[in-house]
Amino acid sequence: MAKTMDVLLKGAGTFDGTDVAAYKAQGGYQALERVLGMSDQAVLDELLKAELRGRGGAAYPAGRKWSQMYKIPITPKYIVCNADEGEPGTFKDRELLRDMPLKVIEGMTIAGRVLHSARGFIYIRGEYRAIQRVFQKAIDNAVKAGYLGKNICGVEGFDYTITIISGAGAYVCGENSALLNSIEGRAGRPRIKPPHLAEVGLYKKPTLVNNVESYADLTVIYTQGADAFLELGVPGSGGTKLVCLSGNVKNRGVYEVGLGKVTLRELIFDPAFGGGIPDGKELSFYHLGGQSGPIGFPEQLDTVYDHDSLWDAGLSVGSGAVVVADGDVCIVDYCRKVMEFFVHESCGKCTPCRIGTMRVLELLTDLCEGRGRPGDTDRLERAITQISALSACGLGQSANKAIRSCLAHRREDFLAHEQGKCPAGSCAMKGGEGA
Amino acid sequence: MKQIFLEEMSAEEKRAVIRKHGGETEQLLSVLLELQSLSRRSYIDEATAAVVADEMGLSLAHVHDVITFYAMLSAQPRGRYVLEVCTSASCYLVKSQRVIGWLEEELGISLGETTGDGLFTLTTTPCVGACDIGPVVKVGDAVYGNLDRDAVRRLVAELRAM
Ligand SMILES: Cc1cc2nc3c(=O)[nH]c(=O)nc-3n(C[C@H](O)[C@H](O)[C@H](O)COP(=O)(O)O)c2cc1C
Ligand code: SF4
Ligand code: FES
Repeated sequence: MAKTMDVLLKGAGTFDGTDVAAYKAQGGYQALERVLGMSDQAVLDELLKAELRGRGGAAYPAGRKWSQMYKIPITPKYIVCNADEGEPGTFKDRELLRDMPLKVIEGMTIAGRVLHSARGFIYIRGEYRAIQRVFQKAIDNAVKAGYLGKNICGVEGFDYTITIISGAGAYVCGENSALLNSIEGRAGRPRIKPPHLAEVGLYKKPTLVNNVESYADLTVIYTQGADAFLELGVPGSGGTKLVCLSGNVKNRGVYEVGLGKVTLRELIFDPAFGGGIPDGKELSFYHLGGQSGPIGFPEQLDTVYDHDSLWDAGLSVGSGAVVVADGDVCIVDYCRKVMEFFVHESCGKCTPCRIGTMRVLELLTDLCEGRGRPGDTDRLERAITQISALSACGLGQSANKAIRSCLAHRREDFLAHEQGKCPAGSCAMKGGEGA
Repeated sequence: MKQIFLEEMSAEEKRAVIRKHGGETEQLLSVLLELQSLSRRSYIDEATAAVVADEMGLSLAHVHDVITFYAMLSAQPRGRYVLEVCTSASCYLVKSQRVIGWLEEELGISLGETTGDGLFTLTTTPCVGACDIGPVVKVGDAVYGNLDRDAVRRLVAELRAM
């Protein structure tokens, strides 16, 4: 039986999330208290054992990232929370920032404590202006209650502050090095790596960047312990995950699930989650993890939702977005939309990304408007392969994923468009048989 | 309370707005977003950019680079209300294209244009993180969701009356 979990979002919306006393009544700040009684090494070991994989998209093991950063002897160090939440179809950090700001603050404070950093930054997307105000109130309240500022919890020398930085509408700023450039008050173009941010990050100092949900997960790990956290999920994917359902699905919204405890079919069709496709239509496909993620099809619905199982099926968790498309949607036209997004968001620094995405968009537009030619599908495949191989940052490197999974599973649809036919009947072909 | 627009503010008044943010270069985006929200035409004009550069100890080129890089900032005058229809995946699937059509009808302009009275600009935006209530339109800090024909008509009427 599929069911939603009540861990990260436990009590969300039922109390004032900016109020320290109310947060503590919900079990808040127990994790930090426990961390204060542990050695740094014990804290790092527990994180490794919990198998927390980053919730921002790349799923990098948080324990490993922290251990690498811990070893670097350079000071000062910075803690950064990525609240840019720019992947289309993703709106889960919004819930944590708005309803559970102190949980995010507590997680960031734990990072500050263990990694010996006195300064945290949270980069919140400009579209979340109202949420920035809520978060600032939570910071102010934490300062008043002695959970931020000097000598936190009465511990001599435990100083830590958090500053909010606003984004201003640039998807690429979610990429961690671009994010740091943006915090420094510059255009948010990615940096060439290496050097890694753990060594040369914000203001050229060692910097940890984690996602909002990853920081919130820390409060679970250090309150309940690594074993309990692992048990919420499965080996390789500890904990719960906030999943965002949207598009052509009945119950759109954010759902918390144990990783490895539900299948894609349950997520989309179970009444406890998506509840199926509206208006009696059929499922055509679903896009996982945002525009930079792969696309799944009905024949993959029994895949279990955790990092390793999805990976084996050619899919991924990514940001947690699950965007559902019904049978009226043409897959080639959807790919055109995806590429439109990347053309718009490319920062233009590397030619393969800037020009390549435009070329691919032209190809897809031709296919959708009845100007397809024999061989376009192969040309498309070559072009996306080149873009991903030659781009400097994750934006260009991932821009191919959606199209690649469509070519693997629905190549015939692209070939039909070469002939001026749209199997979904939604492309308006001039002289073709679509629409 | 009477709103004082950026266009009527003296350099000193603008400096006061900038100083509220503490003067660190880190807060440049917040500063620019606030100033722009005060503009009658939703943009940062040359003179204001120069005041920001001077007050924050940055070159004008730096401030320009930032304004042109970020989609929420504009160096060109726009309508008092910029209506941004989200056209990203989730909203696209629930037919955001129709919302654009309805707004074009209501406003009598095409996508990308500004009404003659300078009140509205109609444009698009990538995902604003409200995919659970798509199709959506963002106006300043507010997001209006689950839009149908009627809701669009009411929204425009409400903004006109403000
Ligand atoms: C183009 C691009 C956009 C990204 N956007 C986000 C984002 O909005 N939020 C986020 O947490 N991570 C985003 N990431 C991933 C970050 O670079 C980084 O991996 C992440 O913040 C690390 O945190 P985590 O390990 O806790 O997931 C993006 C990456 C790329 C390449
Ligand atoms: S891959 Fe694209 S977004 Fe990334 S740095 Fe290159 S041009 Fe910019
Ligand atoms: S796709 Fe429109 S708000 Fe996210």
